This record gives sequence, structure tokens and C-alpha cells, in this order.
Amino acid sequence: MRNHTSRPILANTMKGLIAGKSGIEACLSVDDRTRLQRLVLLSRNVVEGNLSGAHRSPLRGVSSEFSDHKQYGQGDDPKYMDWRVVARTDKYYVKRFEDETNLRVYLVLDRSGSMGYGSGSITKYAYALQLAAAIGYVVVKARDAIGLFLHAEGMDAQMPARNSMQHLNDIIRQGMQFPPQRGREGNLAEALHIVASSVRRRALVVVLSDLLGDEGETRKAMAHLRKKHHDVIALQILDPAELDLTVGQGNLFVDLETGERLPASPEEIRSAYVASFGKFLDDYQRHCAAMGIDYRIARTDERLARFMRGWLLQRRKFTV
Amino acid sequence: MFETPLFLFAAVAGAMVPLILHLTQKWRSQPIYFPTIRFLRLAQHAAARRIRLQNVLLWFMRTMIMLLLGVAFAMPVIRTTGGGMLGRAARDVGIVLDMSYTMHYETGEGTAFDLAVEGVLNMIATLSEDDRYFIILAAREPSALIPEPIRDKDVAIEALGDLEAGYEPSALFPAIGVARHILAEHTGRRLQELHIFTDNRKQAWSGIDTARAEDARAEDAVSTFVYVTGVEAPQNIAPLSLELEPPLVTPSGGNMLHVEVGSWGVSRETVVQFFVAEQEQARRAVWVDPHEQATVSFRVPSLAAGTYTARVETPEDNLSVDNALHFLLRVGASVPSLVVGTERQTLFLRAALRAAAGSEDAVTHIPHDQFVGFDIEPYGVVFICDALPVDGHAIGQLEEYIRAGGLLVIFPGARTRLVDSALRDVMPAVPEGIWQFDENDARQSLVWEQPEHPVLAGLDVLSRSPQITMQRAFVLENMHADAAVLLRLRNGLPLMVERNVGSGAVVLFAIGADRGWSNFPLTSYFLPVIAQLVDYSQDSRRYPLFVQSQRGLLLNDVMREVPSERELEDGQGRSVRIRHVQQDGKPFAYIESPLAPGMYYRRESDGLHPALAVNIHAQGMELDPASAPFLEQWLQPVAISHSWEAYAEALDIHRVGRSLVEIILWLVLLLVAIEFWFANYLVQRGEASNKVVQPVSGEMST
Repeated sequence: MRNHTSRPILANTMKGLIAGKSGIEACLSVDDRTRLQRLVLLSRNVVEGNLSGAHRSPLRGVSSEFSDHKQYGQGDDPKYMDWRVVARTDKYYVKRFEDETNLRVYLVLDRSGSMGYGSGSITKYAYALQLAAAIGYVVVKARDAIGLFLHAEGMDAQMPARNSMQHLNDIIRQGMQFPPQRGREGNLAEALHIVASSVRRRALVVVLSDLLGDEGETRKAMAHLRKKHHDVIALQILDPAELDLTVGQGNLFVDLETGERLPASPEEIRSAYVASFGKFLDDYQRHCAAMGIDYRIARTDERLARFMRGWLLQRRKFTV
Repeated sequence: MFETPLFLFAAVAGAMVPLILHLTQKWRSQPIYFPTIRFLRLAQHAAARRIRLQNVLLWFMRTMIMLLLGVAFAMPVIRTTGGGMLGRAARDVGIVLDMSYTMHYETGEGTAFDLAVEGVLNMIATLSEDDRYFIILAAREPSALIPEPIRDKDVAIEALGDLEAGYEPSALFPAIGVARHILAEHTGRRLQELHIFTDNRKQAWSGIDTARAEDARAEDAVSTFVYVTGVEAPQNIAPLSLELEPPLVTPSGGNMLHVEVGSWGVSRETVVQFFVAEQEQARRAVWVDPHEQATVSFRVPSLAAGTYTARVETPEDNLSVDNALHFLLRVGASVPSLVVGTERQTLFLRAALRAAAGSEDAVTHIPHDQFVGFDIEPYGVVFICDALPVDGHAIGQLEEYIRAGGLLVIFPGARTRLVDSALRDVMPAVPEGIWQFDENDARQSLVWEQPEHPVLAGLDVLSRSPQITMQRAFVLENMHADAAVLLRLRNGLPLMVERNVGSGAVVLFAIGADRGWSNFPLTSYFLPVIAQLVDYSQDSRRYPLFVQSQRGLLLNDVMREVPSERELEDGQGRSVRIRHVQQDGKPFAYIESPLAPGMYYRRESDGLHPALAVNIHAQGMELDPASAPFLEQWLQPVAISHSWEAYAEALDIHRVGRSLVEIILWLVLLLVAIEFWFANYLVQRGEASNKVVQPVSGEMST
């Protein structure tokens, strides 16, 4: 884990968070936490955890849910012998049970320069932090574990998955400690490859990014995660101005990551931009659907609790 | 061409404003921080062409608006003719003024002629100091009021001041030809114009020489303007002609006066009044259809011998100059006749003449040897009985008498030399042999070849089958082409032939006037035929009831005696000058200027005596206006105007040019509207695109 001491790229990078507070309290109000109480984040795939939980585990173990039979062999616990089968067939079989385990959720938080953008009352990074807090809150409340990968060009911070509110607070503080910086390009693909390599057991990886990096490489990295049997959720954090280019007065666009400049009138290129950006989003949606990745756009002007509720309820419907 | 060209600089400066604003806006950058410009670059690339086109369109419209505004202040005009920058170029202007009698038509704003003269003066007033003009009057024959191009406008004011419309039909094309000829002779000026002021009656445009007109049109560089002062649908009723029946008016009366009345415009009933010596004799109502003629008849009252003024008159209308048709009613006591021949040969003839005239004094008899040198001019008819041939001097005297309107009646006889007739030039036929009738064919019926001829018309004997007993007769051969057989014997031999020569006529009988040739002088047909011959020769035939107004009126043709005085007087005491000339020793008198319609008198010691009745030549006049396509075909005018305003506007457009300010301002307004709409459209399109954006919903990927 690298220690970043650079100051925020923009003075208002963290605008949108609750002032004077840190950790989860800076991101979620009491009302938000109350609304999130009953929500649960389920994995659509089988995941591996240390504890028994509400999520399915590929490991056979102590569980009340029968899976199949196995002919008794040396080393098998005789207490799982299925005597009824022995009585009927005169052969020794032992019962095997599908183990239920806890969920390990890893947040992959993008802190590239573009995440510092916010046309309204909140930046994309602040919204991502709120999302991270909300997801973490839901996960921890469900006795699941939450971890963090914070990256920009490279992996800036990494926190293991643990099931404690204190750990969640540390994660949020870590995010708040390393806000986006102007001129810092993001490399989500590399970060995802690192996550795929680092997380050996099946887990739920939640990508919190604007996905404005190299699309091809990012999709390959997502495929890498899926190949490792991780359940992947891609939440694309977008400012409303990015969708319709309502950026107000000005005629010289400056790239927050690269610093490139482009003289153009927003009114003149708006329609073409909307078409081009819309195609970009459609491509992401299509490819994520093909890879079985839960892809969703999170607009920074949408209330957090409402987004979370809609998303998680819909996800639960598809999962159960 | 621009009237205030300095504003063109303002136009250019104004046109630069959008470009300058555009350039200055480019340098004032206002940064927008954005997550990534990757998609902006793509969008800019995709929209670059459209944006460039939109920008160029907006820049073009704004530039055009500023440019056109400046150009409008410069007041551009389009010139159709050459000229300097300010449209001033010396020009020669030919003016053709219609002088036809229809220009007297009252339009409600004055007569057509008054309007035309006013138009001429106004047009001349528009000329610059360097312009020159001349005026051609279009009457029956063209004449020049101002024959050479001049600059002095006062000359026109003076010349047109007392000018009145004429009293005869006009012919415009000859006058236009004269004007074109004058313009062609003065080619030093850059611009030439021809202005025609007319009431545009169809008849005035008749008589066009199409070949010459086409040539002139093909080569013509003269700008032609037509100012029409007449009304579009004229209405007029006028007496056109009259006829006395029988032509000879005697104190016994019984003559009928037939008047033809013509109409233009609407069908209507009108009243025709008949005046003799300013006393109304009768009035008749008659219905007249447009372009038709109706005949109304009056009985001529019994009048003592003498010459009376008379007229028929229709009610006052817009064209009052032709409402009255004046004529002289000559009432003769008898027609003096001269009989040349022996006592025996002329016995029956003289008896018949005395009976027809009712007076001994009406017949003068001389033997043929006294004929040479005898003054035959006072006689209405000369009978020659077996007096041919006559000597050379008498031949010339007779021919002159006949051509002047006299009637010569020839009864040949034994003296008549066969074939060799000294009067061959006026004879209707040549007596070439004598036909002897035997007892079997002596009785011959008379065949009336031309019963409608004035000599035979009205004879009661036509209803019977007249027969005469013939002994011998000349065979009349070599009939002249103009001769006509009036009486023929049943066996085919011509008995009486007639030939018109000049204003007079020659009647030749195939028999003598005595009983040695036939019993014709003894029959009851002889007296009526002789009386008809005398009537045929009466004055009204030689001297018309009236004359038509014309330039150079020769009085010898229309008056019994050549007037020796220097002038005639009209009814209002105004005198008309008579010009006298001698030609071949014979005096001729004529009046140069066309006379106004009315009665003219000779002043003698005992007072005024009617001498001449003058009328307008209204017969055949067509008052309908000529069509615009006709004028355009043969004149190719720049403009045909019916009001001074339209005419002045056409002149202004032609000379100065058509102002484009209004058109340009409309164009500016249109461009401003388009620019406003287009700019708003672009802005709204940008805003609309915001609404079109559908946030990509994060559907759960399954």
C-alpha cells in the first residue's frame, strides 16, 4: 500500500460529503443508514468465505442442505454415513452437504483525475465514496466482509476483506484520504488484473469507476475477474453533465486526467457528443451483459438510498 | 448605379463586423474542465463539417445583412439605358402628338388633347439642360411643330399654347417614321427617346407598312414611350353621312334627306334633329347599336331657289365635335342647258328641255358654227346634235368642261364622221357604221340595261314595255372600259351609252335627235329621259353637299366659282385665308389649314352667302382603342401608360433606374428573420439534444 500525501486536485473534490465528519458518517446520514438496514447484497455466483453465511459455497462441509452422495472412502467422517442407503443397497455411502458461506466483497475504487469532476453539488468521487459506504454498510450488516482496492494509475491502497464496521470506517477514511488529483490518469484494467491475482477465493468485486479508461483493456480485465469465478459488479459513476454536455459557458475543454485542451463550443458538438458517448455506454452495457457482469450507471444527481434500493432489489430478484 | 455611393464604404465596413466579432471571440478562451475530452474530440470530428457549415452560414447571413444594409443606404438603382454614374446623359427626344379629331374627346379631366399637351409639357419639363427635343404632329399627314431638336423649353410652351386638336383622322405611323428619321439624323447623343401622346384609337394605328416597321424595329435603338390619354371604352354617336333623294332640290320640294347615324359604345336611342337656315325642321328618334349604323330620313321642306345652310345634329356627348353634320342645301329654279345644232335637228329636244325645266330661259340654243369660243361653263348640260366633229379648240373646251363635272349629251347625225371622232378621249364608244332597219325589224323594244342608273332610276316607263320604231342607227363599237350601256334595242344594238370622265360624264346616243332616225323623240319616253339627263347634271352632283376637313382644300373642286376674295368667314366672324395660285393659266384657290367643322360664308355687298359646309371625316372612324399587344408588336415600347403618374414612373425608371432600396430592405428583413430562426434553431437543437439524452439505465445484466 502506497501512502499518498498529495493534496486534492480540486478544492471541492470531496464536496457532497457531510462536513466535519469522517468515515461512514461522512458518507451516509442516519436516514440513509436506516433505509439501507433491510437491504442485502447477494452474490449471483457461488463464493468462498471463511464463515458460514447466507451465500452458497463451493466447499462441501457442515450444512443442513444436502448436495449428493459419495462412496465411503478412507478418511471420510463416518458420522455422515447414510445408513438408509447402506440398508437398501448394502453399500457404504456418505452424505455430502453444500456449504453456505459468508460473502467477501471487494470495492475497486477509482481515484483518477476524472473522478474529481462534479458539475453539481457532488463530485463523482464523493458519490463513489458514498456508494462504497452504502455497499459496505449493507455487506457488514449481513455479516459479510468488505475490502478495498484504491487505484489511479496504479494500485494506491489495498485493504483486506473483514466483517466489522470499524474496518468499513477505515476503508472510507482511506478513500477520503486519497482523493482524485488533476493530471492523474486512471488505469482500471491494471487494477482489476491485480485484484484478480490478489483475491484467490471467489468473491464479489464491485468496481466503482467512471470507466473512462481504455475500454478494451478494461473489458479484458473484467473478463479476467470473471475467469477467476468472481462475481463482478460494475457501477459506472457519471455526472449528468457527462451525459448531455450541459457544461455552461466556455469554449475550451480541459481534460482532467491528461490536461489536454480542446477548443469547442458545447452547443455545437452537443448532439454529436451525446451520440458518441451514448454508443460508448451501450458498448459497455452490451459487453458486460455478455460477460455476466452486473453493469449499472450511477448518476451523481440520483439520491443514494434510492439508487441502492432500486439496484439491490432488482439484483435480489435476479439472484434468488 | 448608386445615388449615394459613399455608403458603399459603410457597407464594406459593416460586412467586416461579423468577421471581426468572430475572430475576437476566438481569442477569448473560457476553459471547461471535463473528465475526458476523448468523446468531445470524436464529437467534434463528427460534427466538424456541420459546424463549419453552420458557422459559415451564420457568418454569411450576418455579413450579408450588414452589407445589404450599407448597400441600401447607398440607394442602388438599376439602369435600363446607358448613362453616367449619376444617370445623367444627354438625350434627344422625339415627341409625336396625335392631332386626330377624336382627341377632342372629353375624358372627365379635360379633353384627350388637353391631357396630351399637358403630358408633353410635363415631359419636356423633366428634360435636363443638355437634352433636346422636337415635336411632330400626327394628322392625316405628319407635320413638324418643332422640326429640329432644340433645348429651349419655352419654345414648346409657346408652340403648344394655342394648339388645338385637328378635325381629321390621324395616321400615327407616318409621324413616327418622321420622328425616327429625325432621330436617325442626329446620332450624336447617346440616348434617344420617342414619346407618343395619343388617345390610342385603333384607326390612328392603321396603314402600317409592316415591312418597314419590322426593319425599323429590328434596327431601332430608340426607347419608345406611349402615353394614352383616351378612355378605354369611348361612347359616341354622330351623323356620319347624308344623301338627298333625288339629288336635285327644286322649289317644288319632295326631296328626302337620308342620314346615317353611327354609334360606339353602348346601344342607345338617340334623337337626330334636322335644321335648315338655323330653323329646326324635324327630329327623329332612332335606336343605334354599337358599331352599327342606323338610317333616319327627313322630308326636305319646300324652299325658294337659293342656297341654304343646313345640318343634322345628334345630342351633346363626350365627342361633341362630330355631333353636327353641316351641308349646303342648293335649291335651283332650273338647270341651264345648252343645245348645239340646227333648228330642225334640235326641235324636239328643245321642246323636251323647256317642258322639263318649265321655263324658256333654261334652254339656250346655238347653231354648231357658233359653238367654237362659246362659253359653256355656266351650263349644267350640253346637248350636241349632229355637230360632230368640232374643231380643236372646241374639243379642248368640251373635255375641260366634262372633266370639271359637266354633262355632254351627243346625238350624232349625218355630219358625224364615222370612226374618226375628235372626242375619242372622252367618248364612251365610237360610231363606226349605220344600221338600216327594214320594215320587219323597225319595231324595237327598249331594253333597260341598268335601271338603277341615275338617268333611268325612277322612270315610270320601266314598268311598261316601251317600243320605238327605228329607221337607222349608228353601230357603237369599241366600248370604253368605263362605259356602260344604259339602253339597248331588242336586236342588241346599244341605244344609249354613258361614260364617266373626271367629275363629269358623256352620254352618247346611237340615233339623232330628229325624227329622221327613229320616232324616239316623238314617244312619251323621250321627255322623261331628257329630264332625267338634266337632273343627272344638276349641281349637287358636281359640287358636294359638304366637304371634309382636310389640309390643302382645293376650292375649285367644291365651289361653283373660284372665289376671288381673299378669305371666307365662319359663323362667328372669324376669317379663313384663301390662297390663290395660277397653274397653266388657270386660277386655283385653296385653303391650307384644315377647317373646323361648320359653315363658311362669302362676304358680298349684300351680306354673307353660304359657300362651304365643312365636316369631320367620321365615316369609317373606329373609336375602339388599339390593343397593347399590337403596340408592343410594332413599337416595342418601354411603357404604355394611361396616367401621368405611371408615365412619370416609367420615365424615371428608364432614365434614372429602378430603385432597389425597397427590395434590399425586404431582403435584409428576410435574412434577419432567417438568421434569427437559424441561430435559435441551433441553440434549441443543443437544448433539445439534452432532452433527447436518455441516461443509460443500468439494467441488470443477466
